[in-house]
Amino acid sequence: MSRPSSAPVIELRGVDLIYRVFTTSESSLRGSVLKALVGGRLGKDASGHVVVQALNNLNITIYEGERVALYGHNGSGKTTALRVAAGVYEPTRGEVFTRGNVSAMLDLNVGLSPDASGRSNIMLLGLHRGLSRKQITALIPDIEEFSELGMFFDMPVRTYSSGMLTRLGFAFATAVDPDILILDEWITPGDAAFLNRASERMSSHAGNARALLLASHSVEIIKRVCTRVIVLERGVIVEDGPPLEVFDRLDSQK
Amino acid sequence: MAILKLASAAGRDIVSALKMTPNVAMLAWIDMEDRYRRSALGPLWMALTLGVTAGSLGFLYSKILRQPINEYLPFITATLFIWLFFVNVINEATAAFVAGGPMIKNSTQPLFINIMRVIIRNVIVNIHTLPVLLFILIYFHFIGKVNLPLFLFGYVVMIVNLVWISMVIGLLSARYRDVPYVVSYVLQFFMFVSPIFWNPTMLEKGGWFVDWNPIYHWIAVVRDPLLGATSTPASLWFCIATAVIGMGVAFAAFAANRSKVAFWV
Repeated sequence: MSRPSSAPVIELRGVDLIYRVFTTSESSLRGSVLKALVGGRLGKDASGHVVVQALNNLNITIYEGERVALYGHNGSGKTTALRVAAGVYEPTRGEVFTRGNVSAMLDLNVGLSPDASGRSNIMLLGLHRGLSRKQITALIPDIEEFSELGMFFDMPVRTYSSGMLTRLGFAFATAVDPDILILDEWITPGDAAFLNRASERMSSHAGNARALLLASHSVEIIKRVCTRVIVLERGVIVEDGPPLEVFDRLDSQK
Repeated sequence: MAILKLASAAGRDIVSALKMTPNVAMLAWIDMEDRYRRSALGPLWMALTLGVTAGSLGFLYSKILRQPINEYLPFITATLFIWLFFVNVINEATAAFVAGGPMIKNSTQPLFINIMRVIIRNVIVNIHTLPVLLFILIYFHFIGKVNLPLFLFGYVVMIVNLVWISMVIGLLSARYRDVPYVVSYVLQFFMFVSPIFWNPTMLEKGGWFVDWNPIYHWIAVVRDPLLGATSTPASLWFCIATAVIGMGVAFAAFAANRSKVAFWV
């Protein structure tokens, strides 16, 4: 498998993520239905609590310049892996290294106030990120231009279409000039062109390592945007490689 | 070694949250704006709550307890000024992490921010009720007796106590969803057995449940300086001691559970 001859920017080494599930009891009907539906492994720990092993000895190294997609069906551990890479979840075992500043946009709606304008919401998102008012104000013209929202930038966010909301989120996530951009599966195929522009914008900034890590179950997006796809199944890597090759292999297995 | 790692991670969380204080203050202010959006009186409601409660209770209880109104009304106003703040912080602390859940699950924001947000939001509310307190203190000629340095000292000690209480209650409430109900019941219980509506000097005998009531001391060290009385050194030392010990306990609980909160909320 060809690898860019550059430095690793994200490394997950032997990452396990096991967490307890509350309010479900193994013996209940709901418990057994869950067990059948959820992709991650449900089990019991030593004290009899219901636990999920969402990630199982995950080893991922992402190099500078790569655009990596995590692919898999619901419950395969895509989002959990993203959260571990972003530093939201601490792994139960194993280690996570990131080099450079990470900008994670996991859920587009979190932290947004639907009644406030796009402009005020950028302020809100920036405050949550720990940016000063001054820093945020300085970013706003760039975000306004890049998001191409026009008049809507000053309209309440609840009037936005999902595509407009996506553009606002992208514009913010890339405006903070991140080294590593992490996006969860809120991207629709219609956003692929915009996502390409966004990651070009990222790599056009001079400086450090740039990498994109996203979760998606859209083959189309991954083929159009990413240089590498990692396929997860029940928290384990089953495929890793260039999207065209990997999806060909997956298709031939069907 | 593992303990050290947990403690340093918790310490980093708190330090980076404290560095974000201006941001948290602005977010708390936005919480207030959201809460009173489209209400005509807006934040005046907070002052009205204190004014109406203190006024009506003051007149009624001064009769029931046979207290002179010009002493009882300032007493009840000063008490409620602090008590409402105290109760609101603790009640909202039960939701501190749960309400911040989406943010906790989706960002790397320090967790301690959720505690700061509850405290700062309620300090803002408390300041809005200050005019009512000042009016009563001026009207009944208590204003000259106010010991401002001691009041501010007591207020800060109360906030430190509230920070650790909020951390413990916030964590417990995120893990065990029955805790908020227990907390609101316990607070109501303490409202009746603590010297909130009555002054401990009205008690002739059997003051042990005042002396051993932590809530009494936490409230008294802030209230007494407003009324020209001085809290006993015992009360002050008790509050300082609970602040120090409580902070230690809360920090340990925070360090041990910090990384689990994202899975609880």
